[in-house]
Amino acid sequence: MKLNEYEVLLNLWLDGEITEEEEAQLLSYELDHPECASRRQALHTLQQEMASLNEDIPPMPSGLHAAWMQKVEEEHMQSMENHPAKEKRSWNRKRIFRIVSVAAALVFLIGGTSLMRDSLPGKHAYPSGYVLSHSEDAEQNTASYAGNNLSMASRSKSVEAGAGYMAAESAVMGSAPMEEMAFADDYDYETEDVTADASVSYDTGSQAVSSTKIIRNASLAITTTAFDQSLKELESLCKACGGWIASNNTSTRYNGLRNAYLEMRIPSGEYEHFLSQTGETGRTTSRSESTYDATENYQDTQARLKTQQALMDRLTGMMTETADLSDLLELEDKIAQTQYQIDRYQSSLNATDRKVAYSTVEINLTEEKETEQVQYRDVSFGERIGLAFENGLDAFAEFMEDMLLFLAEALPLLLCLAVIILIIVCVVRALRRKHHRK
Amino acid sequence: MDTSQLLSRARSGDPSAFEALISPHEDMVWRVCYRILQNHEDAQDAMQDAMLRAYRGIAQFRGDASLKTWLYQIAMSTATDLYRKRKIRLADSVDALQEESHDIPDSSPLPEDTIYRRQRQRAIRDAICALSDSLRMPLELFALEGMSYPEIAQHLGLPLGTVKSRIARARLAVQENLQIFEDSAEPDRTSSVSKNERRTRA
Repeated sequence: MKLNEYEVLLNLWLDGEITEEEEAQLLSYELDHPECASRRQALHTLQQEMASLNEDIPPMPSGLHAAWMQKVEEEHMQSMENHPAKEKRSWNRKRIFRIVSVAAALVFLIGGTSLMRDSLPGKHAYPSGYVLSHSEDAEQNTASYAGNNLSMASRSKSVEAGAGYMAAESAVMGSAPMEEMAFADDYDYETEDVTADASVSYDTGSQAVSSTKIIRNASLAITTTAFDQSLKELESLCKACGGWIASNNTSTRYNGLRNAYLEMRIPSGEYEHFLSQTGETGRTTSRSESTYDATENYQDTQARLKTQQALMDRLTGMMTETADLSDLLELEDKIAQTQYQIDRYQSSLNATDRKVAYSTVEINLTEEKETEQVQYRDVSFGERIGLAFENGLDAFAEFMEDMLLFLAEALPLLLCLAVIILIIVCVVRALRRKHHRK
Repeated sequence: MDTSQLLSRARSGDPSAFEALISPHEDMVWRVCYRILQNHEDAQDAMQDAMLRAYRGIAQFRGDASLKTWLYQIAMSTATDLYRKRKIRLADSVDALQEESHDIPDSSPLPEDTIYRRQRQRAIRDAICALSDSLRMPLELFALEGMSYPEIAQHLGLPLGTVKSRIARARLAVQENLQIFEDSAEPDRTSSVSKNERRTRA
């Protein structure tokens, strides 16, 4: 047995918890170490003497309890006199702390909600790529549509209203007879100096057919509550006037209302009549007309054509007079070039003739909703108060909704902060407890 | 009313609640004060001061240790402070012993064995006071207050093995400190040295 093992047994013996076997081991060790036996006896004596220390302590005097209670009472009375001030100070501090905490929480909630309202999820879920307007007013949409590009369907052709002859020759043709549609596409527009003269209307009733070449175009914007009917009426009117529809594009806007773009060719003689009748199909919101006098250009082209034709006659004559092969080849080449020019000039004249014969009318037909007439009436002060209160309730309800949304968005952050604060508080308390024990 | 309610009221300054909480332990406080001061009047003063300190400090009592242990520490520190302030020396003179003792029915000289016994008791008290706080507390609670190991462990908030180990070391330390008394065995021996000079560290 080692000394430390002996000491364990020694303490068990002193505490009276040693077993017989352990006591035997203890005594056996002491046989070899007599000084340990003396020490054990000394400790036993000391233990008894320590226990007897209390024997000489007299009992607590009978009046001592009352004496210390009296002191405690006096202390209590004294603290009561000072307590209100202390308590008030403490209460004030606590109250201020609570007020500041509540104020900070309110600032966080209300301020955060107000600042973040625009980024909170709204009441309508929009598909990506759309920029929707909350307005359901058909009139407003119609008025804003004229001249802009809100249509979801693209036009097959864009025409600048009032720009005269900028329309491309590759327009989609409608139901016109094929012989009238045999247009040449190789007309060179460089020679045409087209100037737009919008909103000028000519009285074409008396224009000279051969000497003057007046080209008239018009662009209309019509709104209607009966879209299908108006469209049919326009198509019927066009046919009745002897014209045809060169292109027709129909589309539906985001609010479900339809829009049609029509390009019509109307005989010049029926131009005025047609325009006057379109007002019957709906409400005309805009109208522009342009007139272009192509006479001078036409005559110039005619003169050039004559020149080329005279040249052709001379070249043809020279062909019969020469027998030289090289000369013949050169003449053939010249004849071909001259014929090309003749064809070009003739084609230009034909195109001008067509445009003079048939005016181009573009119509934007827009569907609108039937709107109720707004009738105004006087509102009493009580009704105004009621309306204001209703508006206030609605605004308050909306704000509370937004506040809940803000809280939902801020919840992950708040939870993280709460966990961190909790950890800090636990650590501080543990350190305080440890310090207090020391 | 249970202890927690009494404690709550005592924290708010209720004297009657404080009295109900502390009264069961006032005998212990008295014994501690008298053991250290060995003087009736001084012990009474120390006890009153200790109770007052306990009343003032009850609001800060967090319940980490038991109320008894907390009160024991207050009594110990109050009595020790008073002892130092009044510089009461645990003299071995016969006159001092006669003056302190209240058991003696008459003024006849004490027998030698009684003097020796009292001197030895004083030496034991000095030896115990010379211990460090971590050793003295468990030893006093075990040897002087009669508490069991588990009770001491619970009161001090220590593991049971630590309590046993400290008590064992404290016994040996007291025995070593008593060697001086055993060797000299004189009435005017310097066994009553201050704790600061012969403190046995844990």
